[in-house]
Amino acid sequence: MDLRSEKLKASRFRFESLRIGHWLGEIAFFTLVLAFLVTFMFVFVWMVMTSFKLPRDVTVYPPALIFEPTLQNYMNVLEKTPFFKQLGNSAVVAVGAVSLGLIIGLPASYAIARYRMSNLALTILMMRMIPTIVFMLPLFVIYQQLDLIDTHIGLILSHLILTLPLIIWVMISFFEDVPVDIEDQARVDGCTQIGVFLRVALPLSLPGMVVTTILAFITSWNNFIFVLILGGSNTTTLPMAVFNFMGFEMLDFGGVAAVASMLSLPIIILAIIVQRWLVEGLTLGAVKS
Amino acid sequence: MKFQRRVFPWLMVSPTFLVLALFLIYPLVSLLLMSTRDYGSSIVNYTDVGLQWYRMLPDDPRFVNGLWRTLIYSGGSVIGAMLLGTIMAFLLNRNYPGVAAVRTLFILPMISMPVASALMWGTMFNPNQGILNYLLESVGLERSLWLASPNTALASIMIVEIWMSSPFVMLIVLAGLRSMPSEPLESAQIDGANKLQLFLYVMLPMLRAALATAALFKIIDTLKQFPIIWVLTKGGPLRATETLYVYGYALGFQFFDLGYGAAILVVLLLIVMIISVFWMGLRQRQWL
Repeated sequence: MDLRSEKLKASRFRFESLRIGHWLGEIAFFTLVLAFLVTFMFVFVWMVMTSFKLPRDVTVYPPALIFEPTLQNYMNVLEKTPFFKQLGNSAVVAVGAVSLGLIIGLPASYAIARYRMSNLALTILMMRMIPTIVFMLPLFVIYQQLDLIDTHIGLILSHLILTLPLIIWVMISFFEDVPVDIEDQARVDGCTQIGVFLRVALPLSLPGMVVTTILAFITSWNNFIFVLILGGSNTTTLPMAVFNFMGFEMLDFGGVAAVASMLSLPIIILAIIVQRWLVEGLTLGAVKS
Repeated sequence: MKFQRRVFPWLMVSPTFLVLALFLIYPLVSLLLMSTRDYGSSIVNYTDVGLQWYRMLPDDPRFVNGLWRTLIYSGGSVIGAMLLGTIMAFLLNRNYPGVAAVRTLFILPMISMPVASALMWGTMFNPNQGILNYLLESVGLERSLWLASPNTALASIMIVEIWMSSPFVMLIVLAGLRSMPSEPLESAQIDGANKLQLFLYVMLPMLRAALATAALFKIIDTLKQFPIIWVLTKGGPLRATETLYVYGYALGFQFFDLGYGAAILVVLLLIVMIISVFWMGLRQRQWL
């Protein structure tokens, strides 16, 4: 009797301590989540805050956490720099490179998925692996000879190096998920091979195409090295514009932050739209979610 | 029909072949040729110098410096990103209110525009007015020169790289965790394994494919890093942040020494190729 109650007491004690241990573990866990969030998001918070600061609040030390917000930095950027022209350049290049990449890449991706052309797939992967600067030296020389420097078409073509491998590799896994039975049925019904691709495979992998398009767009939109080397005053895209902005107005932290905020916003919105598929996209199908 | 079936796939990939020929094969062949030439001042008049540039490499202190900086930068950044990214994945690998939002926020550093992010980090690194020095001081640490000193510049940029790269590792490890079968974990728990043992002997071995994939992708991506280095330091101060990529860029496009620049880039290309081939070998042996 005594022994039994002792045992009971002991087990209750263990249970209690486990529960406390459990709660301590929970607290530690969420503290860590919070710590990571604060550390990784700080740059963005700081960026947005700085973009609303007056010059006197930007340079004050210790840095001001409470200040009178202003839109002056945004006005400055929009008025003093050809922001909308550069936005247009970025859009033209990204839309061009993504469209061309889809037209060229979708059929190839489908063929690779259906006919298991793995050597071709690996060759295309090389394009993703090789440092872009390796392409730039030869391209710079040939672009000069062909007068393609500082042209939109030249930039669009060069951005294929970014968009094409991404489109092909991400789409392979989406095309593989299209049931072969449905394709066979369409063939029995008299569809040609190209008809199967256009009328069955493409519509069925539409969600994948949306994700791929957005990811390819972000990649092209963010790129700096191509426009730095192959671009010029006619084709200044946004990353280049930001870079130049820093050069001319090194001390205008507020302006820099305003530009950076304006550029980050569309990308963040796109990311939230495609977040479910980001793993497949960002890892080029190396990992399937 | 048979003819159609045989020709069809090649028809579908032919535009891609054209792009590969123009933007992969041609640049690679051209780069190799360029690395055997001396361009002087013009891109059309050059003299063939054979392998002279490659023989010069070991005696060029800037090349040796660049090689070291590249290895330190990639190695350090990848180790840091692997650690933080794996922790992030474990923080997201359970259900609690807002976990999806946390994941989206964690992803932002990797998809925001590198030039813009680097600029913001640059203002934070500012030794006089930057917030980072303020934070250091407020916890009682000494101020740092960050990007302004050759001793700390590379490490400072590696912080930015780790910040940008960890989300990628997180995504891959998280996918690995999600696809993990639960039976081994449960049976290990029944056998009385504690949490640390579970992690070390059950979860890590099952995650090896995800971890290896993440590491190899990140090694290659850090070898390619240019925008954040160029925005923050342009390779300085005193070449402390001049990786092979930056050195190759400076040679080719600032000094227009195309031949020697090409030779430097061939070395960088070789490093990347070796790592890629290694990765593909692992993949083909089903190890990944």
